[in-house]
Amino acid sequence: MSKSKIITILLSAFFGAAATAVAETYDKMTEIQAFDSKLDSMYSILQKEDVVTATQIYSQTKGRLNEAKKAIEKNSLNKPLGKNAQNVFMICSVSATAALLEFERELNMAEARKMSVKRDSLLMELHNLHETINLLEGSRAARLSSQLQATKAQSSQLQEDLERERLEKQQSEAEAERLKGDLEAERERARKLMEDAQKRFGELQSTLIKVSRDVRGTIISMSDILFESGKAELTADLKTSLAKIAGILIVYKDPKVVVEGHTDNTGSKELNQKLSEQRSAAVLSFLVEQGVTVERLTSKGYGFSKPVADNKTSEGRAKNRRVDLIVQDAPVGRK
Amino acid sequence: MLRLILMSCAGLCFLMIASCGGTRLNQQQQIRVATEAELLKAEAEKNSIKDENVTIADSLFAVAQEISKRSVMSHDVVFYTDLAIAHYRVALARHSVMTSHTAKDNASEALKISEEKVHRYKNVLAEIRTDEDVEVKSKGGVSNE
Repeated sequence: MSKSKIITILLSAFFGAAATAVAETYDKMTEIQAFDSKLDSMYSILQKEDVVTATQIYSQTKGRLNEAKKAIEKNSLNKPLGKNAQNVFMICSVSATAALLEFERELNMAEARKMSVKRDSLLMELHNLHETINLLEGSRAARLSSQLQATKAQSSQLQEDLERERLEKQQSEAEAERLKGDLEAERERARKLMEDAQKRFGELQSTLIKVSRDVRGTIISMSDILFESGKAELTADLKTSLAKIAGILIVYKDPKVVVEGHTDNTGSKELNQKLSEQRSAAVLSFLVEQGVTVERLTSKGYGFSKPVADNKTSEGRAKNRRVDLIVQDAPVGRK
Repeated sequence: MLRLILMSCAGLCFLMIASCGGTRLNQQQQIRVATEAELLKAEAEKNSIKDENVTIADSLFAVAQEISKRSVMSHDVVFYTDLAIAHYRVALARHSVMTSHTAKDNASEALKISEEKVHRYKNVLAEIRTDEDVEVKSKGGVSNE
């Protein structure tokens, strides 16, 4: 319950109408004072914000408030307010309400202006930050760009190297293909030569010369009847055969030849070993005389260590007494 | 007797002159307040303000104009017009307070957005600077800061 109501109840019990008039006067004075203090406080804030229009509103409203105060004070305290005082108070009250609202607007606008100024300052700061970022980004971009240029140059060099290598590889492959072709041709030639040689060797086949093949190559096995008994001298027949063989070997240059001397088991081991060595050496010498290059020839005596037949029979012993020419199959491509 | 009559006439003349001056003052005041009220009324119409205060002000102003048509000199004309002006001011002030609240809210929003942008850009700048330092240090150089 408001103060004025309490006063009204207490006083009206004793003073009736006079009390009501006093309460009314009190109410209105309180209202005027409330307007006054609110007006003063808002005006002081607006002065700090430098709002020029506030001063006119303040003085006009202050004038009206003072007018109202005077009108009410003029009125006798124990009588109701006269028409003039009431009219003055009404205008004062509404004008003060308008003034306070206008002040509130001015305060809001002042705040909005302050925020706008702050925002302008932030926009400036934003602009500067933007510039700084652009600068840093620009210098980094420039650095990256130069790195990129260097990398591109490196890459370009690598590309050139790769291209050169590719061309070289192409050339090598072409060369390899050509060599392969040559090799094939060589193989074919060698095969044909070998076939020819074998055919020629085959033609030497007789009762005293046996031509066969095994893993070692072509074996031309010459009977020891072609030798003087117990001696290493070559007979005329043997020389004839060897000459033919030499002729074949001179034409077909690749195969290497191993001359092996063998005996039966008649006599001592040392004697047979010596005889087999002498006979194989004699054949080798003859072939060299005939023009076969010595580097292709090897001679070896085995004595009776490698029989091909049974030494218990005379036929067997006859077979064991021999000189073998092993014409090795030439590996392709080797000179 | 003659002196008495002359003194009475002089007194009457004085009163007439005085009342004429008073009439002129009152008429000027009426014209001023009437003009003020018309301007405020037009302002309220321009802003399409149609609240309780405008309605009261329009009624008061109409009463004042009616009285002034019937009587040249009337304190009531000034009173009603003054009160109408006060109500127009309240109506216009309430409207502008709303507008100012909107302006303040918009300014506050714009400020907040700018503050956020600045904060974001500062973070970006700090990151760029950190990356730069790492890059330069890894190459054995000296940082820009």
